[in-house]
Amino acid sequence: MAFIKILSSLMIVICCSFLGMQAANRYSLRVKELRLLRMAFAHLESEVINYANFLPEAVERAAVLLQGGVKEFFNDFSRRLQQRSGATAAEAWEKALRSWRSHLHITDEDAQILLSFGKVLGVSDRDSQQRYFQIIQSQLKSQEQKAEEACSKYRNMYRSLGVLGGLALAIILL
Amino acid sequence: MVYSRYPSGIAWKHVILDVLPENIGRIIDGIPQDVAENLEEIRIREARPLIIHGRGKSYYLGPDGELCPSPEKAYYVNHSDIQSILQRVSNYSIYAVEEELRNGYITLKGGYRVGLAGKAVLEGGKIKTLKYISSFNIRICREIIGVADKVIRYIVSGGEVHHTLVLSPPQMGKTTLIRDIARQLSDGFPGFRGVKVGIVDERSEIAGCFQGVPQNNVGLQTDVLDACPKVEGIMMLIRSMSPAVIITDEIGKAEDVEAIEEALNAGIKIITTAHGSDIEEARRRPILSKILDKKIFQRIIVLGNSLGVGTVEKIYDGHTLNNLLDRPVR
Ligand SMILES: Nc1ncnc2c1ncn2[C@@H]1O[C@H](COP(=O)(O)OP(=O)(O)O)[C@@H](O)[C@H]1O
Ligand SMILES: [Mg+2]
Repeated sequence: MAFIKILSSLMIVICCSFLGMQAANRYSLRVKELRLLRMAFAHLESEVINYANFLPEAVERAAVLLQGGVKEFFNDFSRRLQQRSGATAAEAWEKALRSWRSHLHITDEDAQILLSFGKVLGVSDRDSQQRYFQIIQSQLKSQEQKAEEACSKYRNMYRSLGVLGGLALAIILL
Repeated sequence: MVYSRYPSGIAWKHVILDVLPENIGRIIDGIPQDVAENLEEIRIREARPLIIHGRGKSYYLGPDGELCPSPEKAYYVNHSDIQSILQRVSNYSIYAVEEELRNGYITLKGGYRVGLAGKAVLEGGKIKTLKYISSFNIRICREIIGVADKVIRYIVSGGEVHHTLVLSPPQMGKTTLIRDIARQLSDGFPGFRGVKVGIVDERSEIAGCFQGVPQNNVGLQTDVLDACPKVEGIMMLIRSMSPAVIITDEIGKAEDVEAIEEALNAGIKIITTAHGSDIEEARRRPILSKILDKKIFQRIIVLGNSLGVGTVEKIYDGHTLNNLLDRPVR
């Protein structure tokens, strides 16, 4: 009987620690994704501004250096443009973002910034496109800073919370 | 060549439907076969009915592509249709077509052209770009292989190409003719080995280049300077590509004369066009009369429509000004 008790409390502690770990990871993944996004926009900016490449190919090329959900999001956007499935680039951008949103760890505020950038992407002359690219990169930069702060603040907290919560639960239940 | 699932008469659908939003694409796809085969223009204007032109006739289009005699039952184009077309014709990249917006048209794959109108944005008295674009004119130009058959032996004799000027009012087939002349001079024909041809295609109409590659058949040994101003283009071709013949459309500016003389000095033959219903009318324009007085051109071909568009009305010997044709041919 004692053996079972020990085993199940161990299970509870492990599960809770795992959940805490996951919650903590979200913070560092968000930082990583924001950084990737900023890199993607820097690359896209050069494709658009310096080479005046057409958007569908420019996005495809910018996606090459990316990874994970951010890469899938960019590839999906490029595919939608090449298939001309959206009426406008903004529509294709929004659809791509919505379908990959759940695979990303960004906040609603981050997503909102991305959404509004989609509305101006490609639709104006080079000078103003350059301005938009600078704006989105500085916005992402400041989101990244916030994300880093949140990360260092909450990552350890959630980790310990997981372990401690698990211990507490085990003690209460048993 | 681009693979097309459409028969050749409506090969344009392949490209054109791609730049139209779904609803308008469905309408255009639905127009009756015989009209589609002879379609020349699709007119799309914001808040106004959809109109097509072909074979000298125009029709309003209904919501299913049916031809309407009057505008009441026609499909009226809305703002989001216009936005969507603008994005699609620019390949979602307005920043990449600034030059085209300044010129007022974008060339699509296949050499089809989309004319644009909207509000002009000026900078230093010159058009910087267009905004609030509200009208599109999609032109379905067709190359006509063989239209130059009836004139080519007047242009080439004894293995020599003559300096040639093609005169006509607008829309009478000048560009169509010099396109086929380019092909024949470049590829050669029985009795004539082909020569190197250079085309300065200021308005992308002759070769219909899409991203630098000619979409019309302009010959195997033809080099095209696409979207290039005539004078600079002629000079550049002389320096870089050593053509035997230079072909360019619509001369008429003072500096064009100098560029042509430059080519003559380099021993290059010139084939070009100008607006004018006949030599007499052309003479009334200062620049053209200057060119004609210099007797640069050995052949002057006049096009008209006495037997339909593209009729060769007269072919003058440039020196004697005798008409070499007994009667118009088409
Ligand atoms: N020989 C011809 N037979 C039938 N249609 C022609 C012929 N030549 C030209 N066309 C048509 O006439 C229209 C105007 O021709 P284009 O060459 O653009 O004229 P221009 O250069 O004189 O303005 C085009 O739609 C073209 O397809
Ligand atoms: Mg013409």
